[in-house]
Order: sequence, then structure tokens, then C-alpha cells
Amino acid sequence: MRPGSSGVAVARQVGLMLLTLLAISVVTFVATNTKSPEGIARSVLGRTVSQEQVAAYVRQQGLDRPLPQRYATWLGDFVRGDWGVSAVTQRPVRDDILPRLVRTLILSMIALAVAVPVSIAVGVYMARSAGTWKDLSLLIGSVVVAGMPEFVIGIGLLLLFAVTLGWLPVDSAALTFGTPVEQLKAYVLPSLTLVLAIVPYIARFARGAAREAFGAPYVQAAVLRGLTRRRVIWDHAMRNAAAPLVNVIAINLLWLLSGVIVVENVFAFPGIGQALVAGIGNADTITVQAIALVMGAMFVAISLIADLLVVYFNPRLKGAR
Amino acid sequence: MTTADVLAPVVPVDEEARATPAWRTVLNTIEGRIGLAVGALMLLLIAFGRFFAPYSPNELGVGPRTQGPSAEHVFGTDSLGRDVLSRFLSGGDMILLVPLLSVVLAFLVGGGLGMFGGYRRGRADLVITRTFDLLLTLPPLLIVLVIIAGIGSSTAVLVVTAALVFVPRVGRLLRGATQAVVTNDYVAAAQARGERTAAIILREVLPNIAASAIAEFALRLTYAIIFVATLNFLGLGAQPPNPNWGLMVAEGRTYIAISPWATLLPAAGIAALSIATNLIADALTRHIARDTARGTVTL
Repeated sequence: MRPGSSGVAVARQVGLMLLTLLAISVVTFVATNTKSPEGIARSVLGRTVSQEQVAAYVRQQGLDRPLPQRYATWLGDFVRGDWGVSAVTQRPVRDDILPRLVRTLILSMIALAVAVPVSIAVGVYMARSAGTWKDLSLLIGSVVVAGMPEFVIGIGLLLLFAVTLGWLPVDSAALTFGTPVEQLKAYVLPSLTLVLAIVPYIARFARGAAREAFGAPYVQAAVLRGLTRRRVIWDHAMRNAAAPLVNVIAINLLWLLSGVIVVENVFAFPGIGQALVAGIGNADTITVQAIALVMGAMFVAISLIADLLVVYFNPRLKGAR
Repeated sequence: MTTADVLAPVVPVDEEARATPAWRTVLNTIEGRIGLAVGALMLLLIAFGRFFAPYSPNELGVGPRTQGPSAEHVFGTDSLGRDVLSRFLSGGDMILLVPLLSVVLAFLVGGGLGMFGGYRRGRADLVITRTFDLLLTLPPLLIVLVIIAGIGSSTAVLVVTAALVFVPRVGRLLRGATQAVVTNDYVAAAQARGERTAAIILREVLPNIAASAIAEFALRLTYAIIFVATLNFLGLGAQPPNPNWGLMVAEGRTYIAISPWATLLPAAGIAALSIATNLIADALTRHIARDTARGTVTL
């Protein structure tokens, strides 16, 4: 591989992402191990245990070893697929999390698949009608929606579609036991909330990118050559706006991950975000640690894919640095 | 007229324009006016609303449980028979104060370090920038949740963790803005007069990056309100029985079909507050970086 080739750039990105994941794992482990070994044992076993039981638990779990050693064991076990047993449910954490992870991923994918085309279309529409009342009201509308927390958007949709109109269920609990139709309905409001939370950001950026592209000489030339409006917009202008757009979509993807945690809790959606918050409430440290690593891995994977896409769409960046 | 003309004040883009006071910038735009009006209203409500509460916000059973609006309880009661309106009127303070404190802290720490690095350059700048970059790679909500899972939650924890999220973001922006002005002659003049670094940063640099800093402050305040309200909603901020809009939304959520106002009212309060700050932030940002496309062939 030549130095400065795209292969090196990719290897560099992968290395950086692994470093990020390592940082997330360290923060997670240190934050959840601030208590003394006896304190951890007591919080797991309850208050009414004898000194001997506490000592036995500390020895069995290896809590008497130094922190770095425990961290290495924990991380090694996790990588090998042993995510530990929850002290609250007494079940292997992995068995509880994996089905939830699948549902969280489906939810995020639906939201993304709807949000990206919609927001680009809205952005281009705004750019085309720039200066009119349509553009202005969409702009102010995007600031208003972007100013709302995800859970407020979710509650609003819930009140409208579930409580007032009664079209959709008030929570997504049907996902664990409902019929296929009920399961499908359970995805609608959570994904709609996520879509509304993302669209304003990407749409506003798409508007700016489109306006800039529309003003570029090659686009002006295409207009004056008499090409159809559709061809000018999509084949000439937006193709060149793709690279910065991919970048902004990537940043929003990372926010999507935060949004998923919130939205799952609004709709009682049985995904890993809901399990994370429930785990914090129950002091279920082992589950919280496992979910933090899984979400950290998701976060890092998304960043990596986004970075690679940015390079792909912008050849000038290949081999940068 | 282009959008830029409608949304931004009609002033030429030059140094004089940058010097327009922030409040005038905001007042000159439609969105800024709406934002200021709603924001002022919410501020009055949060500060003085409690004095108009018909019942004590924490008193149990002042009415029947989980009821819709009635003559005695205009917005109904919650699941413990507390008056929704009284809790709403008393529950906005922490939704504003905690974010405000955390953004101020983020500006003091992150902004201070960023301006110092941008002014000094060299090794100090490198260390500061690398630290910011490292912090920026961490997923904000996840990390804060994990920290709260480990050390528990309190007002202080909320302020500090939220500030931690914003430190690298504020720092990077103010560092960039500082770098853009340090090459100016007035900075060189101050250096020649032998002024200390802190004095130069405060008296020469800060006033000249004030427009960016104020816009950034408004934007970060919006995000902080969203962030803190979200943590409260997730049950990881304010603890019951405190009246707190975020917590009230979560408490009312279970009974949303029977008593919708218990959820709707606090949710609307949070939304009004964060939308107002976002509108103001947008008006300010628009003033600094305005649309470039003008005089082109219409598509």
C-alpha cells in the first residue's frame, strides 16, 4: 500500500474508531465501579446479607483484584461473548439484550430510510422556492421542530394519533407478544418521532447545499442550455452537493442513537435504550455495562461507515493527511 | 426579495454590521421577535407562576386521582390527586436553571481553554485541541447515562455532566473565532504595550468574537434545555415528589389516555422554552453566516 492511498486512510479511521470504543469502555467501567468491592456486593445481594456472604461474593466475582485487571477480564469476556449474568433478573444479559438490539436496529433503519429522502426533498424544495413564504414558513417550522426534545415530539404524536384519533397503540409493548399487524403498528409512532427529530437538521443543510449548488456556474450553464429542471437539480446540482450532505447525515445518525434511547422510553418500546434506562433505575450494573458497550460499538460503526461514505463521495479526500 | 432579506436585517456584511448589538439583530427578524416574546413570557411564568398556584404543588389528594379538567382543577389532577396546574406553575425553574448553569460552566471552562489555545497556539493549543477532539468522539447521552448509573444523580451531577458535553463544542468554536482575530493589529498593539495574556484575551479578543459567542451561547442553551429536560423525563434528574416539567411528563405518561393535561401541559412548557431559545439562536446565527446564493437564475 502506498502511503497516502485510500487504504491507509481507511486503516487510520478503523484505528481511531477502535480507540474511541476503548475510551467508551474505560469510561463505562470506571463510572460503574466507583463503589468499594463490598459496596458492589451489597448492592447486588441486598442489605440483609452476612459479612461471610459478601466476602464470598467478592471472591467469586474477583472483585478483590485491582481495577485494571478486572477491567481486562470484563472486556475480554465481553469480546468473547460472555456478557455476564444480571444480578436483578438472574438471566444471562446477552439473551435479554440481543432480541432488543434487533428491534432497536430495525427502528433506527426505518427512521433513517424515511428521514433521509424526505429531508433532502424538503431541502431542495425550500431552496427552489427560496425567498417565498413557503420557504420562510418551512424554515421557521424547522427551527421550531428542531427546538423540541424528542420526548416532547413523541408525546405530541402520542396524544394526536393514539389518544385523540385512536389509530395507533399508546405503547409499543405489542412487539413482544402481538400479532404481525400489531407489531407493525408498534413501529409507526416511534419511527415517526425519530424522523421528525432528524428531518429539520438535514433539510436545512440540504437547503443550503442546494442553494450553493444552484448558484454554481456549471448549474447556471445547465439551466441556460435549456435542460429540464429535474435534470439540472438532480444530475448536476445535487450530485455535487452529495459529499457535504453525507457528512451531515452521518452527524445526525449519531444523534439518532441518542434519540432512540429517548423515544424507546416514550413508547415503552422493548429495545436496548429502554433496557438501559431501566437498568440504571434497578441498579442492574452488569446490564448497563453490556448495553453501553453494544451502543458504543453501534456508535463507532456508524461513524466509520459515515467516514468511508464521505471519502467515497469526495475523491479529493482520498489519502488526505 | 430573497429569504436572506426577509430573515436577516438589511445591513451590509462588513465590520460595522458585525458590531450591531445582539438584541437589535434578534428584534429585526420575525423569528427573533417570536422567540423573544415567547421566551419573555416563559421567563415570567417560571419566575412568578408559583405565586398564582391555586393549590400547594406537592399536596396529595387535593382532588380525586387522575381526573380531567373540572371547575376546581382547571387542568385536572395527576395519579396522586395533586393539582396539575399548581405543579405546572411551580415546576419550570430547574428546567431553565440547570441548563443555564451548565452552559455558563461550559463557556468558562471550554471557552476559556479554547480562547487561550487559539491565542497562544503551539503546544498548549495542541494539547487542548486533542482533548476536545477526544471528548467529541464520545456519544453524549450514552456517556452521561453511564456516569449517572455509576455515581447517581443530583443537581450538581446534572450541571457538571451536561457542561462536560458542551465544553469541547463551545471550546472548538471559540478557539476558531479567536484564531481569526489574533492576527489583527489591535492584538499586536496590546502585546507591544506588554499586557498580560488574560487581559488581552478579555479586552481585545473577547469583544471581537462576541457575536459568535452570543449566538453559540443561545444555541447551546437550547441543546442544554433539551438535554436536561430529557434526563428529567428519563427519571435520572429531579427526584419525586418535586414538581419538575420533565418528571411530570414521565409521571403523566402512564395515564395519558385518562388525564392528558398532566402530560401535555409540562411538555408544552418545555417545548415553548426550548423553541424560544432556538428561534433566538437561529436569528443570531443567521446574522453571522448568511446565505451566500444571490442573484442566480431561478430554478
